[in-house]
Amino acid sequence: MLRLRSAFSVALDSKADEEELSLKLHIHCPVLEDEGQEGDNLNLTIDVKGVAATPDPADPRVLRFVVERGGKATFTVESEEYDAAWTVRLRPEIDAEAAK
Amino acid sequence: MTNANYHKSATKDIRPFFAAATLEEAVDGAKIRLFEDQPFTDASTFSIEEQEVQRLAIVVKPNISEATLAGGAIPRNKLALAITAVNPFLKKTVLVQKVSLAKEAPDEVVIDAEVLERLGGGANMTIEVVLCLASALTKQVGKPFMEGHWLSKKSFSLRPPKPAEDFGVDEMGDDGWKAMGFPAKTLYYVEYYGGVNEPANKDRSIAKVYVHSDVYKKLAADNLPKMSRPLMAFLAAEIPCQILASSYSDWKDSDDVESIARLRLF
Repeated sequence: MLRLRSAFSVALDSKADEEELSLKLHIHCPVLEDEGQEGDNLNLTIDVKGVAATPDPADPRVLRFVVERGGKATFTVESEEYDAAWTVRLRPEIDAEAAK
Repeated sequence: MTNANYHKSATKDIRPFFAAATLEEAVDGAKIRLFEDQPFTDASTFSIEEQEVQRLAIVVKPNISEATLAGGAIPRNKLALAITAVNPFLKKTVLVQKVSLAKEAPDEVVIDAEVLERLGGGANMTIEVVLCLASALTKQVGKPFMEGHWLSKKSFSLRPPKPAEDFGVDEMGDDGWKAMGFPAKTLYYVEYYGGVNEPANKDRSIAKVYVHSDVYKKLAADNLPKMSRPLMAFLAAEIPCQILASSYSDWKDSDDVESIARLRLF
């Protein structure tokens, strides 16, 4: 069995117009099926450094956080175990949250 | 907020062959030549005009790196080089050549006229240069084991030029729909401009189509979710039907379809 481990960061440029930005991060980690189609998602353990991120109560792969100008959020991801013959895809997706 | 529409994603596919990762770039140097009078190039996408199809004389140089093979985690006598040609529309694949890498790789591989004929001419074709396992190996974590498991691949795509756009498709968010007087979660809307039974003009669209942003983003992504296919098929059927229905008054009294009008496409 294998586990996927990966880390990536999200930063707001120190020259950005906004002082801070509310973001929603959705980390997809599907197993790839025939013809490259995305199948079921693996469960993930997500560790966050640099910001306080709130997981979505309905989906722990969705996190909301605020990044300040010049700030950086680092995410470390570890998947559940999966079959050693499978190809998996890591696909973080970030959207700006509408202003409240 | 100025960045309300900000969206970014990154994709990394992780194949389970990490113990053979040194071979991943073995065929990255592959090159192709499409016409006799052209030099080899490492470009990977080509637009082929209809009149150029007859002149196609395709030769591939695998340029496999001997140094990479020598230092790889799998002995070269267990590896093969395969050149395939696929017409994705016809779902037809031709294995052009497969050679064992126990000896030196061929310098050039010709994609001959017979292959092109079997694949509908060659204007819509993907040629792949692939380093793969020549025979099955004992299963080991991190290594390929099935005959044909690929370790390194380079693709060359030949496609016909894109036809002129008949109607644009734009995304629309909740607020946009509300401003148009529709519910916030409207799926799609077709605004017919006119001219469906007039000679096609590439500078003038016959309609404008809006699709809800949530759906548009999912469908426009490189990695299509599994459920996107039925939705795409639904939209592909619904949108032309809407255009036909909206344009009914433009063509109901016509005796015939204009020879180069968009209506002919229906």
